Amino acid sequence: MRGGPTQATVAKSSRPQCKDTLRIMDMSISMMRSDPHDRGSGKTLVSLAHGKPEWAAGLRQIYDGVVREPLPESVRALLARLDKG
Amino acid sequence: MRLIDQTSDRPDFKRDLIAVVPHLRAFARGMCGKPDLADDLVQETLLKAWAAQDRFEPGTNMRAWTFIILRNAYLTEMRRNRFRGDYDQDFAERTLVAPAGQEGPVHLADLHRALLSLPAERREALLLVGAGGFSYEEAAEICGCAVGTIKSRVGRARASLTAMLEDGKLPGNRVADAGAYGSIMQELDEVSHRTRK
Repeated sequence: MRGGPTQATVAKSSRPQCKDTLRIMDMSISMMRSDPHDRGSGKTLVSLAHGKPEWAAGLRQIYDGVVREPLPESVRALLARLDKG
Repeated sequence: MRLIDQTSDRPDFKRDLIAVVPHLRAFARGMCGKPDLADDLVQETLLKAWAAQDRFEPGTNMRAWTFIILRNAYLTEMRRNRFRGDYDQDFAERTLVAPAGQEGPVHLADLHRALLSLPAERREALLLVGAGGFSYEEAAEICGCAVGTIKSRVGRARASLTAMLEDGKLPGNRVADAGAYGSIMQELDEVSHRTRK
């Protein structure tokens, strides 16, 4: 990353530090090359495969969370227009 | 563009296009940060894909094809100073929480913020390979670069995120954070910053 990571630190708060927080996540899925169709429910986190960073499951969780969201009305309306031809 | 009058005799195309919409939203959200801007981008992508359906070869990868369209639309909007990977903290705090049953809060908001601080090229590479499930070859096709370039971008993105998250050195969410601001602005050299404040 150009310029390197910033030197700003997480503000002290009642929240645990990122490193400790991420270690709470007990994960064991192959993050970077997993089957795109094998999403699972996203509710249960399992141990990380060797070599995968701890945040990798979080990245998938963020992505899958959006995939599972209901489509907003604006998008549904557009699809309906397209579907009607 | 007269979409209302334009019919399609390719029901499979419509079905497959609708199926990729959630993934388009996820990719756009990862790139833009803000849900409303991301959905604008997705709608633009759908319109363009619909208009170009004759150029889509049945049986090929619809998801990759539409991701290319979305990426190009994103780059265009970036050049127009519209999408700048803004981090919507309020939205993130409301939505990026761990499912019930976890031992403690998983601060995905921190991860999201770190992700958005990456240069766009590395962020998209990481999203495509690390979250979207694309192979390096597919991601290279989407990004219009060599496979080796994608691998390099993914590797650098991983290293940057790991350094930020494990060391607790996250970019701030305010412009006053010179480091984060500089990182984002460096990617957007050609974009005017004067309207930011």
